[in-house]
Amino acid sequence: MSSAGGDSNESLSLNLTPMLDIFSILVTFLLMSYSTDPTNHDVDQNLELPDSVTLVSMDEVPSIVVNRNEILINNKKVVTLQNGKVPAADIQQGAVYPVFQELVEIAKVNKAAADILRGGDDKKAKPGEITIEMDRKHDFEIMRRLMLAGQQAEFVTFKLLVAKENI
Amino acid sequence: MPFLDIFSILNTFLLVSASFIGLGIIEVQVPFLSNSTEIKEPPSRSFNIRVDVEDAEIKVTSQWTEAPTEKEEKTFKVDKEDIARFHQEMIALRVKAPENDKVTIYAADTVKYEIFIQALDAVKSMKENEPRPALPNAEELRKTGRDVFLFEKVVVGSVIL
Repeated sequence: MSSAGGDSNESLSLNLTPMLDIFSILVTFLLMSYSTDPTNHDVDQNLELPDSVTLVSMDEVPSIVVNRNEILINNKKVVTLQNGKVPAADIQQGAVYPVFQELVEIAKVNKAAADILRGGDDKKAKPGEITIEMDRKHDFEIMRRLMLAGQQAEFVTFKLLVAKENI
Repeated sequence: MPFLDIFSILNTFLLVSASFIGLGIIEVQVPFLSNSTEIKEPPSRSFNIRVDVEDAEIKVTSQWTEAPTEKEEKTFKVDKEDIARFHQEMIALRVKAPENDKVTIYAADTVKYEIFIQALDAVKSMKENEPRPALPNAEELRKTGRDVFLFEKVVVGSVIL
């Protein structure tokens, strides 16, 4: 007499052929998107990058991150945004003062490192570069104030991180 | 089956290291004073291009620094079709004065960052399969990989004390 669940002698077997098909397609797809680029960066979870058609790839990890709630420099929170704006108390001469202070320290470290490499030949010193990652919905005002702070700390080239439309 | 073992380990490794968002950069500069002691002779007649980005429109002003200035102003709306026309206008300006590879861009404080990036894209970037403009040094640009830029130097003029 068979049980309600069916014949007790039935055995279930895994159908391996379709499973292998799935695995091989998955491996093919993932191999195509595999990157050996040494520069790897996880975008901040609290921001969404703007789209861009640029063909230039990221070459350094961003130092300044502006997500929906705060401004971070090298993963250290320096400013808490209020309604998407920099609080008036953190603004001096149009620039974000806490950002300026941190960038001055970074510029000192970069200059010291560059001096060691160049042997102190100041004639070849180049103005600094810095990479910024910012949420797409922010106003340009925040970017302007950040760039002003960077300009005062002798950073004149800014690399704006974007999401490439075509990977 | 060892084949399945290999595939599952390979899948796990590739899933962890996969990158589903390509990250790119757009490089811009801000105005700065150089303390270099070299004094360069300014060109006798140069071509200036200025882009003003507002909430609802983008204005392009181009003129020569000396007479005849041939000043031109064109306005584009901030939508997909007009930004494509804006990009074509920038290509035309690049071909008109090939020796000039610099644009100064200004933006209002209330402009959204994504709109500013779209304007920067239209000024600076060439798409992958887009035909390159006919410039005298096109071959040199292609060899050095700089043909991905329409205008290589973009200065954000809004950043002044």
